[in-house]
Amino acid sequence: MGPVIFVEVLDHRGRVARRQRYDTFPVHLGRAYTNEVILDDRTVCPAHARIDLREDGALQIEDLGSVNGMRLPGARSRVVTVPVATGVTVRLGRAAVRVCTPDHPVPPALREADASLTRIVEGMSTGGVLGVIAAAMAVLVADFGVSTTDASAVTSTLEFAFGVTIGLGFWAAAWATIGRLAGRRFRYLKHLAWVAGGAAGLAVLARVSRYTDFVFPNADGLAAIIGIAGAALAGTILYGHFAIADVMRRRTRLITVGAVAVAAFAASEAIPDDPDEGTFTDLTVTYTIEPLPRWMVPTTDLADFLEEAGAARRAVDRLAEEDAPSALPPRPGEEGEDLPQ
Amino acid sequence: MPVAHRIRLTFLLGQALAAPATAQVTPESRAGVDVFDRFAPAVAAIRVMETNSNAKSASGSGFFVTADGHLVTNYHVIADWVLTPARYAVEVDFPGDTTARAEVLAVDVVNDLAVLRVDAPQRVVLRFARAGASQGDRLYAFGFPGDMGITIVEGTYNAYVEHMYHPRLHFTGSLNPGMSGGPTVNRAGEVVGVNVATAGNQLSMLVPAAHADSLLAAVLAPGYAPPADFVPTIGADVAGDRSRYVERLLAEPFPTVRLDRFQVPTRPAPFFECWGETDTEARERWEYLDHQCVTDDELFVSEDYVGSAALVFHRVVRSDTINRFRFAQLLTESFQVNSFWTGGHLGEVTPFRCHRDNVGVGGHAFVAVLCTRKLLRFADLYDVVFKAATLGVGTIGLETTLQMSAIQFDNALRVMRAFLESITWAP
Repeated sequence: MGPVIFVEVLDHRGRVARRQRYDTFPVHLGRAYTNEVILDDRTVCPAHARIDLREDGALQIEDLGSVNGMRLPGARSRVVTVPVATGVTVRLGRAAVRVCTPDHPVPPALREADASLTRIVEGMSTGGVLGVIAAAMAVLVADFGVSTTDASAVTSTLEFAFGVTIGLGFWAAAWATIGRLAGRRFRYLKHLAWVAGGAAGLAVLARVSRYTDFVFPNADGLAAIIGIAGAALAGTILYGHFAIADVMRRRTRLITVGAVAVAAFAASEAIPDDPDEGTFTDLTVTYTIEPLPRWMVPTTDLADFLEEAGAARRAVDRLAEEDAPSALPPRPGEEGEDLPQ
Repeated sequence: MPVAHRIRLTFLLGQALAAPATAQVTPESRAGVDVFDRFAPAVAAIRVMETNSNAKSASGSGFFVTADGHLVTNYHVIADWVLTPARYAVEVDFPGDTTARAEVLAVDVVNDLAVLRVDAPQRVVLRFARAGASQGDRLYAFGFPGDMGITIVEGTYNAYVEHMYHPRLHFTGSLNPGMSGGPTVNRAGEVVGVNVATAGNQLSMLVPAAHADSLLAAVLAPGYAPPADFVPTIGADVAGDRSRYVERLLAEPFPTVRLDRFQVPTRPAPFFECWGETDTEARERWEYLDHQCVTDDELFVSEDYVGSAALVFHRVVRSDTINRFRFAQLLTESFQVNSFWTGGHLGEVTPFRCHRDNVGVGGHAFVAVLCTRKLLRFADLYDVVFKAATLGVGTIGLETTLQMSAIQFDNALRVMRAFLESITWAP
């Protein structure tokens, strides 16, 4: 039995688009229909190259004097012949072709749990995707509508739903466009489902955060955990868009999401806290009141509360130490707040 | 916060930027002319001059009480100097077209009085009335309103203003800005009260002369020396006053009033006035029941900090038709915004800082928030705001607010405790 090769035509991502076994030589490659391997790209000549046996019995790929030549991947200069070793890849114009022999090594099978996000997304039917979008929108609208105190709840809920649809729609379109520009598929509905689901998740998490803060107003650790969960959810949303748009490799995506997270955190730390937070005459209290039943809310003793309130006093004592009264108070009438007349 | 139905006191302080005063009514009785002729020379115009620009920052009136050149005026007329002596100087104009620098000898912030002295002997001085006046007596107020020159205003004595913690006399006459610190005398020229504030059309207030008398007596006592810095004494005066105030508030249990199913504290002391209001709009599906108690007392500490001692505000929110989520949102919106009446800005006070928790009192549960800011000029005085909202009562909720200004922190806590403990409701 003579040499057997497998000629694989690769797509732009390096994945095998089609594969064919050959055991008779020469094997011609080109755009014309006289070739054994027909390549559709316009940069490929009608008779571009051939795979044939040399005098010593080894196989080689030979360029037939084509316009765009033959190159090894990553190289700029053209080559005329390339010896065949299993897995060798050559570029003929813009087309890529790989030649393998039966002894080509293949890694063992992956376990199913390692399946990537992309495959999950690809596996969803249109009905499934629309279902996710509908469910997510329902959650978002209900979260808003059940709490709004506007005079016409129906009107403002409809306005909210409209606004959210437009916003999410544009966001998904932007990601779909990125995917398309990178040569991938548009996948608009999948991006929309992903961001809608993520937004619904964030809305639910925000509500959980408010309730937790209400029940445990002084548990900073708990608040921090919920904050981290929110950040993780936001990061996952970002990562998912990269995956659905099929841009970058998995590791690059993770690095990008991580970099965005670090940048966002650094920016929030860099903006200094307003030391005069809380203005002086209009005291705005940001605490919320939540509709939780009485039994869910642990209470402290009044005496303990009054003692713990000393924390606020100590905080203003510290502020007072930093802030000695100004030597030159403004002239009367300059600061317009609450003059006696 | 609903519109306050209280009368805002206007201090009779003439200022560089004040609007011009209206013309005075000149008396036509012979008595008025006589009083004016005999006693006007004892009345002086007082100005606080800003030393950098040599322009006046405040102006008011005062009157001579000793031949040595001691004068009485209001604290708030010379407050700028007292708080920042390096930047201001006090000048006095008196008869003979003379202007002289004055030295501030004593200050009584609680009664809004001050004793000054110029180094010039005086021929005409006023005495303080020993016997009290009777309601209906004719009185004569002197002062320098706006830039109008020495003015006499004839009016009627109407005894003590009711419901004030710091006693003030009610004078029915038009006092205008600039007349602060001037004397109001009876026909014999005895000072019955010192002009201090007006609450509108011919509603004017005087500090009872007895307080000025005792302040002067302290100055004239042998061995008296004015402090190098008045600010600590002001702080001590206010602190002492507030302590007495709090004892008065806590002397008896708070009376309560019923708002829907809640019994809430009202009128903590006789010098509070309370108002109620129900706010239902036909389109809204909820209603507010408001109840507010305020005191007309104001303590002038500085131009930017006029302390109203305490304020109590209750709001019951109720709805039969909206769901619990919306109701909670409604309560939140009402809970979140507060105006603190006392003014104050950077340099006078720190920003507010708050502490929040859920509190159980007498079997009831509340969301409780305590916010405080510290007064920068004085030791150990704070403004404190206490807010509470009922927890877990379905679609009816009580939100309550207690504000206290220029008070010791521990005293504020005592009042808050009594306040919260007096709230009850039928389940």
